[in-house]
Amino acid sequence: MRRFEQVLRGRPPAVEAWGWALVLAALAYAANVIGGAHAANPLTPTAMTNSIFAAGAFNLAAWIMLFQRAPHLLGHRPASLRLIVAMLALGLFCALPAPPVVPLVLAIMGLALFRQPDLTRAGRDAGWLLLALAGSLGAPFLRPLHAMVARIDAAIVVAAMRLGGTTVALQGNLIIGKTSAIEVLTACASSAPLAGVILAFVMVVIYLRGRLDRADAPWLAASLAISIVLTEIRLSLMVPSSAAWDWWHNGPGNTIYELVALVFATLFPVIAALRNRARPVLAAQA
Amino acid sequence: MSVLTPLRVLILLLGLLSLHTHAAWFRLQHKAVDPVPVLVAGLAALGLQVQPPDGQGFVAATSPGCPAPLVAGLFAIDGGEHARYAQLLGPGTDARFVYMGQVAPYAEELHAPRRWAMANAQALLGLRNTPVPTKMVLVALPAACPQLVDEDWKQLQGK
Repeated sequence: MRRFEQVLRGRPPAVEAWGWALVLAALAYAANVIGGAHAANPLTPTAMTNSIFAAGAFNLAAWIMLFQRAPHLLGHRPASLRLIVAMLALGLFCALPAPPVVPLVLAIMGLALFRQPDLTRAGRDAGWLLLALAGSLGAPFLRPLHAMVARIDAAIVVAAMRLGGTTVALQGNLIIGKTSAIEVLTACASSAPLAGVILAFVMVVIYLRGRLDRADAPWLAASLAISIVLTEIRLSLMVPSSAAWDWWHNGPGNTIYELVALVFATLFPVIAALRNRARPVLAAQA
Repeated sequence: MSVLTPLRVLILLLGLLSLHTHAAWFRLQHKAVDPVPVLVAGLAALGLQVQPPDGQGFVAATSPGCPAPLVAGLFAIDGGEHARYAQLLGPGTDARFVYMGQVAPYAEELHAPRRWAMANAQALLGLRNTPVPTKMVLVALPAACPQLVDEDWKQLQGK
């Protein structure tokens, strides 16, 4: 133990230890994204850059915002021995190439950051960004949850279509129409995009206003609700025929759905940020 | 304070280790091959007359000194396909299980899950450059030809 303490002579500031942990997590994230996209192809600098961009603009922007805040997460104090050991353990964990490792590490970092006594505003923002990014990267691994939600989605779509006068039958996650049937799989469940919607909300609000507020909660809820409604609408549009399924699943309909979802995912946080920023001014005028 | 403190060197090494393990892992994934053709080639290398795989992936083969055919198949090492490989093992058969260069008459004797985990740990550290098989080979030998038991079955799946 004494020898280990000797290694730690000249302890870095706590904020530097957090910065290193962030770098190691980012490295693992990039390696996963690049490796996953190019396991069978040669790695060129362009291909590597493209795979980072293809992994999601919101993910990339979240990392950029995290690194912008990294030097200001905490007050000025040296890193404790516990923090350094935890950071090294997280770094070692990041060396495991299993994709669920990164979201797990980010979630641990986010939760741990909120427990720091000298957390700054930038630190709080970074905590929310870490948790939102962990949710966004980890959501695909919550398959049992998405499978459960897929059955509920199927039931909702069937109920809505019956209300609209269409004859459809429900069997588990299968929606059976007159001439075709669709199976709501985990990636198509309404819960699948929610973590991404939360990430978009957190990022846009922090970017526009610099902080998250309790008053944003209803806007976040509205953002999530719209995302769910959009998914149900898209599913119900797929049911009538295999051509309709193809159009909404693989064709232009999919692009339309994604664009509309993106508009709502960014519109609600923009409204939340602008309204809640304007409120104190209005109160002062009154 | 020096820029290159022992702690920073340690972190740098962790970063390099992370890059190394990820690169090794994805290189292995790229190398992963369909095990059925490998099984067919392995049976042919033992001098057997091999039939094309059937719909279930079972491969029948005959030895020059034995008129009855043997049947080989690939099964998950976790025992989850026990019912499937039980189809191959009837009263008139002897079983040989092969996993990563080891042969045993019973699947349990191969300790396949433990060896799979060890091999994956080696792969993660970049100490292994061949894919870790997730399936073991079962060869159902006709009991009428006991000489087949002594064949070098471990060749069917290398380490």
